[in-house]
Amino acid sequence: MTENKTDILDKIPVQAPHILSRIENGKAVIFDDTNGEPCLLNETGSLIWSLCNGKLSVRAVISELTCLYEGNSSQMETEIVDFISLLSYKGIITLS
Amino acid sequence: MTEYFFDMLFEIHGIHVRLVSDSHKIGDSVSRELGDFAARNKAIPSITINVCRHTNGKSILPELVQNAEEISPGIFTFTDFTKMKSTILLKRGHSFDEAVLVTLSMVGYISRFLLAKKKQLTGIHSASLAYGSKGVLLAGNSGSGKTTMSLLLIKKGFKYLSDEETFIEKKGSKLTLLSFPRHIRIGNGFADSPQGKDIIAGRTLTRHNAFYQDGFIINPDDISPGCRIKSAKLTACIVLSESEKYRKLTIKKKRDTAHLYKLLSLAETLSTGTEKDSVQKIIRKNNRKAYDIINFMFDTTPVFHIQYSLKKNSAELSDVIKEFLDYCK
Repeated sequence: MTENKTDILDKIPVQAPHILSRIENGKAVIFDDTNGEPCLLNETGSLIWSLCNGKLSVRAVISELTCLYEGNSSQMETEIVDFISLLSYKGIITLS
Repeated sequence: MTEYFFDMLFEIHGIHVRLVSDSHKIGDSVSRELGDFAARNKAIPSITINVCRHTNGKSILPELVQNAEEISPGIFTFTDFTKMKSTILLKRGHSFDEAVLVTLSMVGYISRFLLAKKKQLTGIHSASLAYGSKGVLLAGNSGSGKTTMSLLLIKKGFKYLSDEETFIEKKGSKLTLLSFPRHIRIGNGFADSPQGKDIIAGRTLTRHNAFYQDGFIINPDDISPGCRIKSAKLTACIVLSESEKYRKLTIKKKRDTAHLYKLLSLAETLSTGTEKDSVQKIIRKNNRKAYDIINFMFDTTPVFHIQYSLKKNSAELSDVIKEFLDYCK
């Protein structure tokens, strides 16, 4: 997680091909086929995951979420960037 | 040449395990516990488990002692999956009851590995029972009451398949729950509760103080003779949550399925410090199969979430589950 916030905003997050996923009750269950590890995302994380579709930039993902949720937009932006960076660090998504 | 006092070959869903002992007393103890389901036959064993005393140096190789893992104070095990051989070492003065527990536990551990490797079966952390021909999988986090619920249901006429782990076989569109031949373990807390006392009163119990919790092991046949069956068609899956805060028994039709995916991590129980890359591969493959089977189960089987309090709702639980199974086709 070495990239800073401004570097990441224009990148396009894509779900990694070795990750299997399924949405159950609004929560994503993701499964890493390379190491056999399952992982559960909460509802917000699941929404971010579903928006990592290779069409939207990180900036556009932030924009989608700030339209849906009320709150401090600056804090939301930081949290979304941190979350996407974490997914990228774990190899769950790639940033192109 | 080692003289074996005890030599037994038994079968779990097509896996043959040979259990041998060079101690007469250990052999007798193990024989008593395993006698219910063990049967001699001429099949070639998939793995040999050797139970021996630590002090009998003749039959123990030094490198084996060096590499063995102490799984309980004074009890060591070593499994070489490449040679399909496992050894359990017991220090002098150890109780034979504990030897039996360790042996049973190793049999379970190795059988799980073999069922995954040779039969491509998938184990899921759950209890399972059957009512008539309908099998029900009881899932939930540790402490959610799977074992307690199993005991209550066995007493009310349900058949017993497994307590801690269930192997699920998928053939076409049919999922079958397979038995796992292990006794039920209960903690001291449940044994001391009114519900526990009611269930275990007058039953034969073995004190269980090895591994992670103190308590007892109970043979389900002692609660309801003949209650063990080998398999049942999966009809429903129930995810359990037990807490004193629940005043009323609630069945949520909205599925709470996230728990089940967490249970995939149970495949880690196949993992030990002695494993090789080939074993890791099997664990990963097993996890992937479990993921696929759980997905298939969600698409084809009713999954419900029961919230209950053991203190307040235990009397009505079995009737509710029977009604629920009657409703499932």
